[in-house]
Amino acid sequence: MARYMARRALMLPVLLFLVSVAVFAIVRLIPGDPAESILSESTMLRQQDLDQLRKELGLNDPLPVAYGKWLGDVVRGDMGTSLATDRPVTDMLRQAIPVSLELALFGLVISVVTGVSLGIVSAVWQDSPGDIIARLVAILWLSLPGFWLGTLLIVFGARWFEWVPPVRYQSLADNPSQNLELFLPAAIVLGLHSAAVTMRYTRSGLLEVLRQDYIRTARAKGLRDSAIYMRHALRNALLPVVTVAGLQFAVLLGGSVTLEAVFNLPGVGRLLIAAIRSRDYPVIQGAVLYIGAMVIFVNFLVDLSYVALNPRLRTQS
Amino acid sequence: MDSSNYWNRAISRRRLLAATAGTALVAAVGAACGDDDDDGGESASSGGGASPAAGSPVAQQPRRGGTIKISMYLNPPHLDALQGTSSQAIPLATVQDALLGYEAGPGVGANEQKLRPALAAALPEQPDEMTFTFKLNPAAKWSDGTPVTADDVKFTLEQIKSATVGAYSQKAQFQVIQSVSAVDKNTVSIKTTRPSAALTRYLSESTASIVPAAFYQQLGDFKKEVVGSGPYKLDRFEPSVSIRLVRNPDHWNGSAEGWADTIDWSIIQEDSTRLAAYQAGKHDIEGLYPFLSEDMRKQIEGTGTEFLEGLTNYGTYLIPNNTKAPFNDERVRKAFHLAINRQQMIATWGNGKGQVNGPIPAVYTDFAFSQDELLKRPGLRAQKDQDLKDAKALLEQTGFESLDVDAIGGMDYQTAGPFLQVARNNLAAIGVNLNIQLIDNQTVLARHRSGDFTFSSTPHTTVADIDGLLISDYRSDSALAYGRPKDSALDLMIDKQSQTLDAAERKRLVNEIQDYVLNKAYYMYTTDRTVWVAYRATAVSNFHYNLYSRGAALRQTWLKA
Repeated sequence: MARYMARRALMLPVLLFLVSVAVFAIVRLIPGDPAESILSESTMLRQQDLDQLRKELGLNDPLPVAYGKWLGDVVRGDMGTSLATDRPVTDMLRQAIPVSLELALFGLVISVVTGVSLGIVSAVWQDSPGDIIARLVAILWLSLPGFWLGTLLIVFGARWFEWVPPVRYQSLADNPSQNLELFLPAAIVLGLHSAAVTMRYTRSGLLEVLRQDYIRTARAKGLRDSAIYMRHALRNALLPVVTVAGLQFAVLLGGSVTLEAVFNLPGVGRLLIAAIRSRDYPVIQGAVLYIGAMVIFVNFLVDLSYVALNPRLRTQS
Repeated sequence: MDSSNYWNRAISRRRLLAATAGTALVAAVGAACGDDDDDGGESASSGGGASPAAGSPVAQQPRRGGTIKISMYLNPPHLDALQGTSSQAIPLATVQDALLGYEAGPGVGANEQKLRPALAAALPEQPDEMTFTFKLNPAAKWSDGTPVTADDVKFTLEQIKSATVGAYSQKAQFQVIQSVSAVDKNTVSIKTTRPSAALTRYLSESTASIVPAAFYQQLGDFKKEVVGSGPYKLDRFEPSVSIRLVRNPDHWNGSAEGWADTIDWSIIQEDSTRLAAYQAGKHDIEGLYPFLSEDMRKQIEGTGTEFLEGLTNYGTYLIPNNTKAPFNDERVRKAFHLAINRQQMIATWGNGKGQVNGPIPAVYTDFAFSQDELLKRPGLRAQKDQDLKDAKALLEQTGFESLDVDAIGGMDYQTAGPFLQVARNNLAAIGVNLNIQLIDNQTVLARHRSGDFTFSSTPHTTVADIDGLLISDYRSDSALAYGRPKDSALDLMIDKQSQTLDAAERKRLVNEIQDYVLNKAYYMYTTDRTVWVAYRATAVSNFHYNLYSRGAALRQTWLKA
């Protein structure tokens, strides 16, 4: 077990290094550069001004030199300064991450609670009207894009009820009620979409487990249904659900671009999109590195949870 | 079902919260099926409340107090107007002053450029063609109570002129300044290297806001903090969230401007969310940036809203790469110019409301050809039969029986795609096949600058003076002249109008340039659409929109009791 964990942990910095190289290189392959963006609204401009700005921004440095400088700073905890805002990238991420984290957490809770509950109902009463309704609902949630649902909620909320969620972000600590009023609708839209996936994994996992011999044995021994489902079946059926939920959470930590836009949440997704549009290299690199780190780290935790949940894997490892 | 009541009924927020997300969705989906009919009925019955452009008389006494709430698409990366663009400076137009400003109010058209003194006591005196002398308003003070001095003006202009990273857009405009000297505490003399017809307009832009030298030097820039001489002070700037301004109770001109206690700008980049927030009463003014299109206007009609009408602040060009085949042949460019149907562009994109643009866009009311004059010219005529015949003849002369042309446009530009599509349909009539590719805006810019394109569509924001427009789009040394005219005769014509101070003579020269470039067809000019700015008439009073004063109009706006 310890060796398995150590081996996994050792892979983390290697993966992060590869992500950093990829991000740094790919960003520079996109046409356009920060100088073009900074001067995009210029009304009078000569080529020499553009060349001068490129020089001042260090865009003429050879790629390995620029990467070395950047990586050296990142290792020291400095992700650079935004070319568009002149603010430290770490400050910008520090402002955006809690927003995406909160949305991801709320979304995850809604997704797991709703998805697992519906999955259990659907599996236990397979082919019943309840199962059919649950499956239809899941397909509906899955097929409706989150941004569309969110837009409907806001547009028709305003039109019918003269209501929209607060359009200005307030942190949970500063204004809990306004924060929840803003985040809950977004989290519901986000969570329901993920819940559909969770529901389907729970249902199929549970149906498979319920057909296993040890479940038949448990029934033969006269165990109550609730004990069979909750203690013996669900724990084993949840293994793929944990994987899926973990991966979804990791992706959501990087911000839900469309929902953050619709609900006006200043999270990582919006930050990244704005940075890409303005070719703000330091911010793009910082944000993608953070997202990469989160995906790698959450995957690591999922791997560990797998070992904890599945005794067979413990023995093998 | 009574459709108007159905759409307009108001239900308490508590009731909404009691409803589940699921029922809301089902209701929304169900209702969406009947949207068109019901909405149309509502719009017709409400009448829209569209009002004439700025010009309604002020009927009430100004009232102090309250918070003017506004939303905007803009997400200013920082607050230093000297290092930003004029659109970024919109919220700061109530915090800072330039030497001059633009009028907005009763009797001033929405697109009219009428200079007014701001920090200057009057328009500048010109003892000779290359000297501008400004007398500062002796009452003008910074928000900390210290007086605005000629040294502050000298510092600001020198700061812009010598700017480094990020401030090039202004820098180029002010290179004509040779020196700035503080004659005395309240008198500034600006000497230029040549006569400049545009300088006073450039000095009226919010990007030329005068800054207090001492504070600016102390802070290094105004990216996070701003000290100004306007009726409002910066209270809080939360990047990507909001900008909150509070009234300066000791403002030197407090008896004439700065009525609301607070101006609260929310940054909302999603159009549907911003309009919904307005509809739900979260804001009082909508459309200062970006403007409201016809569709957007319809969405918020009937909510006690009045609309002020104007033209957009950008024109869209169709840009042939003049250095590349087939557009290095003037006849091909002319054929394209003739074939394109501007009336169709107005009909499809502007919902029938807009104006045809010549080389100088309609929004520059002092210099643009009138619609009557424009619509008589080949290519711009409403009746296209003769134009199409001439276009075909020109293409035949070039030997092209059919022509495949690749076109690019920025997918985020509202006009690029629709205009290219109209152009494709028009050009098909003369045997041209336009292959449109909509791509990322920055990629379009990069390809414009590198010359790696054949045909393109892009909007460009208007500048304070047509001099900037002519230089940026046509001068051989401009990095923004994407069509690459490279015409030395045209360069000379542009320089001449630039140095002509007599207004009538300058207009004549500009007209000559317009005819010249129309004949050369370096670009294909399209249209300018009608747009609106909305305000809640039940809450807001004395709001007079003007394209050039933009945010500064809020200085004179107050809230009703």
